[in-house]
Amino acid sequence: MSVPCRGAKFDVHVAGAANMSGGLVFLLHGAGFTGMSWAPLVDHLKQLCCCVAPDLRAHGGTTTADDTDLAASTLVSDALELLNALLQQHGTLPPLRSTAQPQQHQPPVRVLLVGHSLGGAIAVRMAAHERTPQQRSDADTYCIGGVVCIDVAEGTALASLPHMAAVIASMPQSFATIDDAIAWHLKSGSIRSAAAARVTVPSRLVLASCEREGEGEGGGVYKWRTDLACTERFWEGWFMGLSSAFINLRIPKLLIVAGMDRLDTELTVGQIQGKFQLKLVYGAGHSVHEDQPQQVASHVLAFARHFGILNVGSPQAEQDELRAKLERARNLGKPPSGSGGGS
Amino acid sequence: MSGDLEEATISCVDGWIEKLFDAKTLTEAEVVQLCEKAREVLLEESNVQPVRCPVTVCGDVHGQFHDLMELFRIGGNAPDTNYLFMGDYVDRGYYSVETVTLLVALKVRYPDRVYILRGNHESRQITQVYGFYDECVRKYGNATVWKLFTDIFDYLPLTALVDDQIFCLHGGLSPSIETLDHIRALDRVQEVPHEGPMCDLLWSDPDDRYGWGISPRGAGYTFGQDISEQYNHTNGLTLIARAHQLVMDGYNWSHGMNVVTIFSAPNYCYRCGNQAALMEIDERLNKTFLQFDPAPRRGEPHVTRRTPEYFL
Repeated sequence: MSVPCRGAKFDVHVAGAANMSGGLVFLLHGAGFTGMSWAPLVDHLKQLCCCVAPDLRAHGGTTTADDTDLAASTLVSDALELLNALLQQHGTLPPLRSTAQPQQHQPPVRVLLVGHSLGGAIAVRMAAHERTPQQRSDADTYCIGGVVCIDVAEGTALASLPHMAAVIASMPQSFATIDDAIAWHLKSGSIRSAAAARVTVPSRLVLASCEREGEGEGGGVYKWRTDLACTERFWEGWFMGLSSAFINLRIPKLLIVAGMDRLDTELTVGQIQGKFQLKLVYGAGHSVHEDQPQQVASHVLAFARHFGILNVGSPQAEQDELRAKLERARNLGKPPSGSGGGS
Repeated sequence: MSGDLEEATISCVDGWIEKLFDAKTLTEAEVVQLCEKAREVLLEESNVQPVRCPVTVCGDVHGQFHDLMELFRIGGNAPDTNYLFMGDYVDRGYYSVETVTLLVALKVRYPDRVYILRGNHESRQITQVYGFYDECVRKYGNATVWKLFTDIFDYLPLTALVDDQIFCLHGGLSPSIETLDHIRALDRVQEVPHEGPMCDLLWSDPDDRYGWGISPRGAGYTFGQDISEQYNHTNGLTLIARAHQLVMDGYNWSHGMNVVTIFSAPNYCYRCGNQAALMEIDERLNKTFLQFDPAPRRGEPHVTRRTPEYFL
């Protein structure tokens, strides 16, 4: 669906439970990807919760007045305002609000942010804007209960920046057919799952205008929707300061990576200090959620359940969850009946 | 009884230890024998294993074998120095096999002078993700040695009690546990569960906030100073010594000196720039901390980090 926001029209992919009481998963794709990048993962989530995946500025079906401004701050504002617009305009977006008591005050919707690569960097900055429980008001339409970042680490990203221009230059400029584009993604290893590539690749391409069709024999007609080379001046800003921002978030956070070598020093320290949860997914490239959607889904759901982020409608969810856990834990500790082993 | 090894066994284990100090691995057959003996020794120990001072208490090692050698240079050789290791021998470093084999061999050889507790990485599930499994397969060509060691991990004691006063464990406290008798009653011979008291002991962390909190790690809890004070008071303890978290100085007091964290892997993962430390407890229960830096490296593969062609 198309959602007007900030003078632009954002293409937003919605799937799953229409009732928001289970919470909302807000998914942010990486640079050059689109909201469709989440389709394989959302297949495993949509029975349980509502999933919303926008196409970012200058990506996919989203059209803005200024597609050249991909500064981190612009993308974060886009995402925050879009989330607000989605949850406020329930008149135009009926599936997004609970239909049980449409006229009465509703508690803020619990939101789990999930971001891949650049999307992860946006998610962390969004969460850094989150108010403390004391700062929250009745008017709040949502509260961010947790953040999941997929394969993004500041140190590793910054180290790879000098190579990015060459990487982009080595990508084909265009493809004769969609199938060629899918085949290239699989051959280059940028996506490892053929099923995922068929779903996600087409949205990254646009059919070039007819005039160009006649040009040269070998010239393809499908071009990249997003001109990544033009975004170079923003790259550093996307990732600078990301690791400490992630570690310092006061809400539950999960980092999913394709390999331990992805962690930078700050994240390595933060991980063994127990500042966040880390999951490794084997057999995946950078697009972890496209290559291993089922594994990623089970990590995301286990994380959301453990911290009571989804399936509970109130901002008190984490406290309630803790209370329930403590109750169970104390009962476990109740009279050590008889003699156990090991002594 | 665990203290009385046969002469033949002693010379056999001494041979293994010599080989291991030389940074050589044992054969698969030797690991089978070692683990059989280790099982007998560990089965005798309690979930709250009594330990007498003087003893030197160590935190995470994580397969940093050369730094373990440095640890012994700083702290003194076993059995001249008594040791209590608080878990996490394997994963992340490149020499988990050598590290854990040596520590288990020392335990078998000097059961009343070397104590090794269980850390959250002494688990089948965690070692398959963080390196020990892969290292075993790489060094032995199959997973047998990994299986042998992870089976032994189930027998490692969960906690130790130095002279009835200093409570030592890998992680921290559990809301399911109020007294040491609760711990003694646990059936520890199993894989580390995902939740419950045994999991908490290996996963929890002290925190600045009071009371209990959900741990950001996704397992165990965070506990505040009020919890530590109450626990120490209830059990007549003076101190909780634990590991599990990197601290830049190698040791760190918290909760008004009710808790001390000790971390014994210097420059963790060959990149974190932290010091390591040991805590010496003397005959009068005085505590002295010895800090140390990474051992000078010889013949160790230089750590190069591949820059992934990624983020787009």
